[in-house]
Amino acid sequence: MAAVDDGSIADDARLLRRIRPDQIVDDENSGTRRPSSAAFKDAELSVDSEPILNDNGFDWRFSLQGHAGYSLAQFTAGHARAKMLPVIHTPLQNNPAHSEVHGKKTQGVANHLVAGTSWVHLELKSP
Amino acid sequence: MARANAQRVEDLFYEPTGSSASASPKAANYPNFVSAFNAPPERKWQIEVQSRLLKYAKMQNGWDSYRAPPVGWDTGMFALYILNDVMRTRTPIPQVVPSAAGGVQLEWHQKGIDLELHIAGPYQCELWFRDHQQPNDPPVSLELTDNFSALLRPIELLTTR
Repeated sequence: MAAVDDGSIADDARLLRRIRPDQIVDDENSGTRRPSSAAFKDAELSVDSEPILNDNGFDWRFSLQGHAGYSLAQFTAGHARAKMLPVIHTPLQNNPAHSEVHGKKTQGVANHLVAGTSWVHLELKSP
Repeated sequence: MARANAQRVEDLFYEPTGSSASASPKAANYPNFVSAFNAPPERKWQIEVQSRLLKYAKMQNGWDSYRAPPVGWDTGMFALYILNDVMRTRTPIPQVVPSAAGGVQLEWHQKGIDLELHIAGPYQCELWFRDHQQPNDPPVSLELTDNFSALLRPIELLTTR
């Protein structure tokens, strides 16, 4: 059964996604280091919803705990929904903010997500 | 073959001087040209890409701190197979990125070109191509299974621009 987006995560909520160092690419066209679209290809893309983190007394640093060397990128729930991707709160025992962005991520959709992404934390050193 | 070419090219740059057996090598005046002309095709991309693929194939489930499956050996071999067909001497080396969905992505973001080839497995590929010098052209997004000719134009642009 397809998971349903009940709208409990607001469109302007920032969704946080850890990015492994080898999923960061050098984009000479934009002169930036940015996440590869390959980091967003999962059909059930795990993210942390920042407002839920905040409601539980955490901030974005929670998402990087125990993950040295990782960077953290964000895009909004509304940006994902613009491509008809459901955004669903799926809390875990150790992570109340865990959520998933469902749906097939074609290259076009994955690049749409990248286009709306910015860094919350960019790790400069590899672990 | 390369040796034969080398001799032929050097012959072009030798100018016999009279009846002397010792020729005056013009080639000596153009050492960089002769060496570049005679150089075999660069094989550097194989080294870089293979090294990345080997590393990714050894990764465990959940290597991205979420639930990503490892890159399969057959997927890595297929990536090499594709590159071996399309790479030219002056084609820039792709960035090789493991995919959260499993598989691997080859990508270039340079010379005003964005080119990505996502390889989920043998003959299971997706192409993404955008030419910033043609801003009115929409990005090309294609699934590639048995016909990979859509790769040729972007690779040619990357090689010649």
